[in-house]
Amino acid sequence: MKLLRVDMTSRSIRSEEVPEAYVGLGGRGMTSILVGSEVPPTCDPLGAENKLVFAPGFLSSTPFSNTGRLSIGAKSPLTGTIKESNVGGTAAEAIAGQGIAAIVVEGKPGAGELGILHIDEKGEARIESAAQYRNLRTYETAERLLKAYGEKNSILVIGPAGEYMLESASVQCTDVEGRPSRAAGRGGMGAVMGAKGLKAIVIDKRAKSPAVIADPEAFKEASKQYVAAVKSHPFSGQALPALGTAVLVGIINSIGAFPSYNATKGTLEGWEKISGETMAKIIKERGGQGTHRACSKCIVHCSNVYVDKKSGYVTSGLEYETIWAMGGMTDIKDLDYIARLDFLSDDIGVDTMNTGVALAVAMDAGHIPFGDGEAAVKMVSEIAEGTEFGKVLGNGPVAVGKYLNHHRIPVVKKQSIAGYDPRGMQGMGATYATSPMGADHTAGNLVDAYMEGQLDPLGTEGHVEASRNAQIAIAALDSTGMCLMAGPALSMPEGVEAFTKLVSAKIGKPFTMDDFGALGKRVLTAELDFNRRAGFTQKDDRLPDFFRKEPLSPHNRVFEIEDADIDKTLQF
Amino acid sequence: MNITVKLFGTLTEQHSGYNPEEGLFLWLPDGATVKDLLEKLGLSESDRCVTVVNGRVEKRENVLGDGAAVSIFQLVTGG
Repeated sequence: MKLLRVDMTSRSIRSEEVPEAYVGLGGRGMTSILVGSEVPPTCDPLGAENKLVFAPGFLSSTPFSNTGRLSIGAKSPLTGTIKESNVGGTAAEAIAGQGIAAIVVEGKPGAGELGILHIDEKGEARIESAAQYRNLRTYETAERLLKAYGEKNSILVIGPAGEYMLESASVQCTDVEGRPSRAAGRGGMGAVMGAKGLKAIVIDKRAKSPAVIADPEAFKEASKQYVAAVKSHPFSGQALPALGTAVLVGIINSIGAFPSYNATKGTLEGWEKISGETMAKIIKERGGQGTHRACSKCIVHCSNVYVDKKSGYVTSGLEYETIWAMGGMTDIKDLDYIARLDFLSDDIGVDTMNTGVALAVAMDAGHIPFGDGEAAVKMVSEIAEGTEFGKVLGNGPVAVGKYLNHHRIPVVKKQSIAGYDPRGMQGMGATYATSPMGADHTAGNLVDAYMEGQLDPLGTEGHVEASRNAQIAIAALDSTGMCLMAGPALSMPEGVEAFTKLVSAKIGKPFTMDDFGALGKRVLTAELDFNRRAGFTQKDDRLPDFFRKEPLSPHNRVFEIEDADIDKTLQF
Repeated sequence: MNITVKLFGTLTEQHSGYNPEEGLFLWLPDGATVKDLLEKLGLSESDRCVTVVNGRVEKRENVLGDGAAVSIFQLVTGG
């Protein structure tokens, strides 16, 4: 495997063998350890010293299912911390197929320069002009790039928000049908790409560099066993294919942990209108796709294609977090508006979560009424138009809060929380507060522990430990390239057995879950070290004050885990 | 005792004629547990269902009260 170093200052590209320090790393492990080693922690995230790293997981080059996740890492312009944003689609497999362990984009071009990185079937890489794509949205850019370079390409692309270097800017990735519907949304990685003067990366999917697998037969056998475990789990085998992650809307509302009306209530009145069950019914009646394969090598098929009343495409991959941010936080109880807002966000290239929460802050401040879908669509459209308020909105909830002088801003380190309120699921507060990424649910989600009765969501005992264990496990999982949606199998003994056998067969030496934990700790340690050197202290690992002062209905609880305990979360 | 049950996710498909607006009305003997209810609905432990009453997740051994409004979900692990 090689590293592809792309210097945007000199517009030169260098291919090198993976340095010893990074051998065997993939995904988040690669992005975080490389950024930790090579990026000055106090640098300007939008300056020449920052590096933008694209790394497939260490299993992404293999035929193992559900390993189509790509990690995109850099110092974040949103949080100021190290960042790994994770995306599905087709790019991880395409990059790994090129024999590339990571693409490292460095330097900064002269003002106004905009390029495309093209990696062809033979692995030849060059930077070409993107002048004709300037300010275009992602769907049009991807469509034109696929025409120009051919359909057998995977595309990573930024929209106007990335070109404006806004702090919520995403990097969009094409799905198996060539639509840029998958988002590396969190932490403003699109802004870093914009600062590098890189509009898109076009990777030929036909290059097939053979994966190095020490024991291919054992690998194949373990892979089959893992697939069986994924299929037999009720979440990954039944609920996700039928309803996608939107299946969560019902249960999280029912336990009163669905942050609604800008996190002032724990249940959205009339949530049934935007539930996964309702979405599936609408999609079926209108002839859309309730079950959809969006990502390379996926066997779960949690995606969907949401269509309008005439069966026309609206958006793909309408997910729980988007429905929550654009619907729950805003009281827009209309899936047609939520789907439009999802499409607009993907097309303009912004994180649906940070943007939905920013809209909710604007509503809470009285700028527009709660529930006004039309006003929300107009406001998000302003991001692409580059208006003053559009830029404020595209910089996220904190920017909107400052602009409108509003106090209730549900973020940690400027990144919005997710669809699990820390007053209704106390341990999620520990994850939001301490994750090296800012508030991030995927960094250590405890919802399964609450559902299975292992933890009382309204208690505090055991939550910090559970958050620690989840954060360690996820840091390791994010390094494999495996999708979280195939992760539930790791809660089953047969899944653990298959997974450890599989990794062992890949690397040619014994591998246990202790090794998996050690990997997670190594990644987290690199991230925490970067943040410390960037100037972050325990005082930054705090939820906004209102979570401790404003009780959340229906349970009327505040966030109760003490600061001293929060500070123990990532002590391992 | 009488209880009302709402089913979610693909559990609705496992009960032909289930009406999501109305849910199910069931009679169970006094002292019946969550486990008894799930078994009556043909749901075994391996289905790993999550039962919620009054905003709280109930364990399998918990006793249901008369008039309880019960929601039954499939296990979720985050999205």
